[in-house]
Amino acid sequence: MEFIYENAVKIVTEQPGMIAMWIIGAFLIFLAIKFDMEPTLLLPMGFGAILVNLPIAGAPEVIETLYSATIENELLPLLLFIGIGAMIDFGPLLSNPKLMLFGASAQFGIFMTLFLAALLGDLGLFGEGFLITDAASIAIIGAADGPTSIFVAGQFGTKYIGAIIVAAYSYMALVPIVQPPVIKLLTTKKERLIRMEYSPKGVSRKTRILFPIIVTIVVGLIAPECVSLIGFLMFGNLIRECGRLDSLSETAQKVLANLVTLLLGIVVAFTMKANDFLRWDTLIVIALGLIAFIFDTAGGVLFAKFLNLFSKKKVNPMIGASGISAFPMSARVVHKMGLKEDPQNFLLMHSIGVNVSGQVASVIAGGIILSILG
Amino acid sequence: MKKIISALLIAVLTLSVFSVFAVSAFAEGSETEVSVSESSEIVEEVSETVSEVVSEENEDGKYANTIRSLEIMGFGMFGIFLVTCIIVCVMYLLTLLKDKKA
Repeated sequence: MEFIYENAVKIVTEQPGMIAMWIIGAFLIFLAIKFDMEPTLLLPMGFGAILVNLPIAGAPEVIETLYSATIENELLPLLLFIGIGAMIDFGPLLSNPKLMLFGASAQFGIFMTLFLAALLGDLGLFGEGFLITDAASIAIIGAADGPTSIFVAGQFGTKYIGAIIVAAYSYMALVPIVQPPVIKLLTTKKERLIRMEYSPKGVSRKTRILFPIIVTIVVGLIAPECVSLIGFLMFGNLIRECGRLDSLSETAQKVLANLVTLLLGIVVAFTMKANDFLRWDTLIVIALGLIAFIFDTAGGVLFAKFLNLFSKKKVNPMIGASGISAFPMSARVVHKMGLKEDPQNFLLMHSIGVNVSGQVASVIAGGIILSILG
Repeated sequence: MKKIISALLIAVLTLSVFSVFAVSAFAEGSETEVSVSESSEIVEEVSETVSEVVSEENEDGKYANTIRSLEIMGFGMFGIFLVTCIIVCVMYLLTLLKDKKA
């Protein structure tokens, strides 16, 4: 009893931050269970946050070992990309390739956030400010893609990696709350009512098989820094599309993705030690992450509106918002918004096409930032 | 055929604009030498102007990161569109492939 009492007193007097981290951990678990917000990640992260903030415990050492063996060398994000690649059907995108441009435009938030983070740092409004690599790592939250955020932040070795991961996954879960107001603000009722016909062109098997191979080669030649990310993503997709590896495809989609996600959540919690996490700049990182998502959405919507100025066949600008990646939540959000405006307006296939293009574009954005600053 | 021509046009246009942009985007403050193609006087002028503006604004280095972030924004967005345009071209070409009928 005396031992417990001493430990309790020690925490309260010497390390009150640990108690704050228990509360944050419990809050993440609460969000995961009560509101079903990215439970596969927020629950292990929440528990991990509690685990690494216990005094005189052996768990942090184990998690640290796992962290250096799987996150520092980017192993887990890359493995997760095989699973994601196996889940993605590029069919809707291949039947309408110009949708890919929306994915590119919806990466605007990344660069806007990079600018804002750098400006905040230069203005000296808080502490030491951000290094340009820190600003870039924070900005990549706007990729709306956990593995890419982890990969880029890991490559830059930023001290904000914990906050970046928490922000990236939290905002992905909050896409249904973050995106609709931005979309409504930037579009008129008339624009939201634009109907888009879906006339699927048959995509041949050859096309589906060659697409991942050629994209890997093209991206590898132009943006070599992101070839590992795009390569693993496309490898997963090739397994899916080749038609000979159904059991491997199923394993990648379910077993591999689940196993990696399980480990990722708890291992990432290593970065949530009270001393590293409880800082004012953590709040700034989380706020900048929200800005990144808002500007991503705005970038996609405004680009669609811009295209409508020149196009005879108008597109519903809402589908531009799906370019933020966050697969497949963002596509569903746009589809539901379309149905709300007009119960006969089915935007799902278009928004899914844009959504998968955002997945590819976000990886390219990460690679380009690494190429410039790496 | 129409698709192929438009795809090639997009690629050529993108690459030509990219070559101009890449030089100006990498023009950093007074300490950086600007590398330009000798064959293009227009590109040289643009690069020198950007370089002068950047070095004037950045004399005390206070806003160095902000200026760098703007460069990255310009180069990054353009880079994404460049890669995307090429992928779009590839996709249009790939959609021409048809499976053999059984």
